[in-house]
Parts: sequence; C-alpha cells; structure tokens
Amino acid sequence: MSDPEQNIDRVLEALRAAQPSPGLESRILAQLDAERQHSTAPNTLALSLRGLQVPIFATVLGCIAAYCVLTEVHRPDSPRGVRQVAAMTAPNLHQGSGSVNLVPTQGAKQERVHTAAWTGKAGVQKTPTRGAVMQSAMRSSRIRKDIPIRPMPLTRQEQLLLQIAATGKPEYTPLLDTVALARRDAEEQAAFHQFFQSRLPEQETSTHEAHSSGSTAAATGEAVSESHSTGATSTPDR
Amino acid sequence: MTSLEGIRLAFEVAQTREAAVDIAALVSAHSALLFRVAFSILRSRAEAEDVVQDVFVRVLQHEKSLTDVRDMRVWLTRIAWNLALDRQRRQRPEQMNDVFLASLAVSDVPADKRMQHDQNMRAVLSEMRRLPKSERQALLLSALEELTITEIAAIMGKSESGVRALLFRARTRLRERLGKGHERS
Repeated sequence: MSDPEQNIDRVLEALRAAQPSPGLESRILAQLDAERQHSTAPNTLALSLRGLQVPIFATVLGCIAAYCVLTEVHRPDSPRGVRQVAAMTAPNLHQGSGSVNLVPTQGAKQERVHTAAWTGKAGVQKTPTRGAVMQSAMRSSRIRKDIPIRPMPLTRQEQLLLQIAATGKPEYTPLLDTVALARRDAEEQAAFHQFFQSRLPEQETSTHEAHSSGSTAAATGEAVSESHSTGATSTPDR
Repeated sequence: MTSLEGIRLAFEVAQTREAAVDIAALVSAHSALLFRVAFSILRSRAEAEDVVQDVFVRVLQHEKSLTDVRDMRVWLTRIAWNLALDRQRRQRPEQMNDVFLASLAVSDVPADKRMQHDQNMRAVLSEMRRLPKSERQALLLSALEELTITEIAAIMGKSESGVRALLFRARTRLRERLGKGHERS
C-alpha cells in the first residue's frame, strides 16, 4: 500500500472512529423537552386574555350596539329620530304660537311649505299634522353649520324694502326708521285727539242748542195741540 | 365547555407523549450515526453534537409529518449532512484541521517523522476538501461503514452505480493528487 493510500485510510478511519460524548442522548432529549415546553406553554398574554374573554366580548358587543343605536337615531328618515325631534319640538307646538322653532336657513321655499302646512293654503293639508312638522324639523336639523348656506331669493316684502332703500328719497327714509315711524304715529294720534278735543265743546253747544229748540218746538206743539183740542172743543161754542 | 376542553387537552397530552416516545427512540437509534456524519465534515466534536441536536429539533418541528417519512435513517442523515455543510461555511478550514490533527497525532515516533505525519494528514484533509461535492460526500458517507450503498444512493439522490463511480473517482483523484504532492516533497 502506497503512502497516499495509507494516509487516506488513516484519515477515514479516524473519522469513522469518532464517538460522541456519553451524555449526548440525554442532552438532546432534555433539549427537545425544553423546546416542546416552550412551544406548548401557553402564552402569558393568552392566559391573561382568556380570563378577560367575556368582558372583552361584552364590551365589543356593547360598542356595536351603541353604534347601531346612534346610527339609527341620527339617520334622517328614522322614525326613532323623528320621534326624538318631535319630542324636542313638541313644547313649541303646544305653546299656541303656531310656529316651530326652526333654524331659518333652509330658505324661502321650505318656509313657504312650512307656512302652507300651518295655514292650509296649499290645499294639500288643511291642518298641520305632526308628521309634516316633524319632517320639516328633521330637514332643518340635518343642516350643519359647516355647510355654506346658499343665497336664497328675497321675499316680496324684502324686495320692496330694498327698493325703498335704494331710491334714497327723504320722504321714504322715515319708513325704514322704526323710531321715526313710532314718533310720527304718536304725533298723528296726538293730533287726532287734540282735534277732537278742540271740536268737542262746539259739538256740545250745538247739541245743547238743538236740544233746546227741540224742546220749544215740543212746547209749541203741545200748545198747538192744546189749541187744536180747545178749538175743537170750542167749535160747538161758536 | 369545560369537559370538551379537558378532553382536548388530554388528547393533546396523549399525542405529545406518543411523539416523545418516538423521538426518544429516534435519538437513541440514530444519534451516533448522525454525530459521525457531522463529524466527518466538521471534524469538531462540539460542532458535530450541536448539529445532532439541531437535527432532532427539526424532527420535533416536523413531528406531525414523521409518518410520511419512508426511510427515517436516510432522512435524518440528509438533514445532518446539510446542517453540517451550513455550519462548515462559518468555519475556517485551518481551525477544523488543527483540532482534528491533534487527535491524529502520534506520540511514539521521532519529531521529524511526527512532523511528516502531520503534513501528510493535513494534505489528505486539504485534498478531501478540494474534491467535488458529490465525490466527497460519497467518500465520507461510505467511510462510515454504517450506510449501505443503497442508503448512500438514497441520501445523495443518485443510483447505486453512480455512487460506486463517484467513490472510485474520489479515491483515484485523491491518490493522484496526494502522489503528486508526495513526489514534489
């Protein structure tokens, strides 16, 4: 056998003769047990969550139910929401003022519909029903403050006021001043009273005169009648 | 609810015990072979034992599919070979050879012959490392004398004649290279 061949066999024999340390199997089994316990040991988080399963489930269920209720209440066409709005607006209805406390942002059209529902001019509803009031209240309650309000057309009264203000005539200016209007009304009323108070004594004297002439006429009539009666009675004397 | 959970836990415990018995039997039956397979590559006792541990940890991870394994010996040897190759890539060859050569050292010869012996062993280990992968694998697995040619063929995924050819080529190649080196020296 050549040297290289001997060397090869010697190395392979040394590799073949290698033996593991005596406690290898027990160490491997201990390692496997540790691995198994690590993999099958329940997690502390899972253990802590296991005790809280029912409360967590109840909380989640409650949140879902609350969300559903809130969504139902805040839905525009929800009867529950209409009921709630009606409950809020009902005191205004029963105060006898005849107007619902609405936010005047829907515009003239909605106001006209609302007024028609109250006055019965539309012909569709003779009397204002709770449903119409609730729907209009719901429509107005849906308006949010962050939504920009579109400019609505002016009513007839507003247009007239605008024309008066635009003309700038001095005779129309007091019409826009409520204080001046009130003062003018007071002056007119005072003049009215003053006129009648000044005319009142003359009327009283004239009425007295008329009364006295009437009494003389009555007296003369009595005399005439007396003369007639006396004449009649006196005729046989002739 | 509680009774169902108890039954499930008892079933899991029974399954775990059964699997533990199987794995313990595997450890006692194959750990020595797997150690030698790993040692033939790594030439370090501690590294080879770590590889054997890793092999059985892999087995534990796949314990549910152990019934699908047709030849457990072949399957375990293949795992050990691959894990040892992975570990070998992180080692310096000089470090492995030094540790192994210390165990091959002869003490009852003069110093010059001892040095010559160490050089020859180092040359053999170096040339074995330079062999093609398949030839080296066939040579090392057949050197263990625990695996048949059929098993080696199954481990390598080759035919038996192919394994024999690989063995012949590996031996011839080693002899030629070592002979050239011996002539040079």
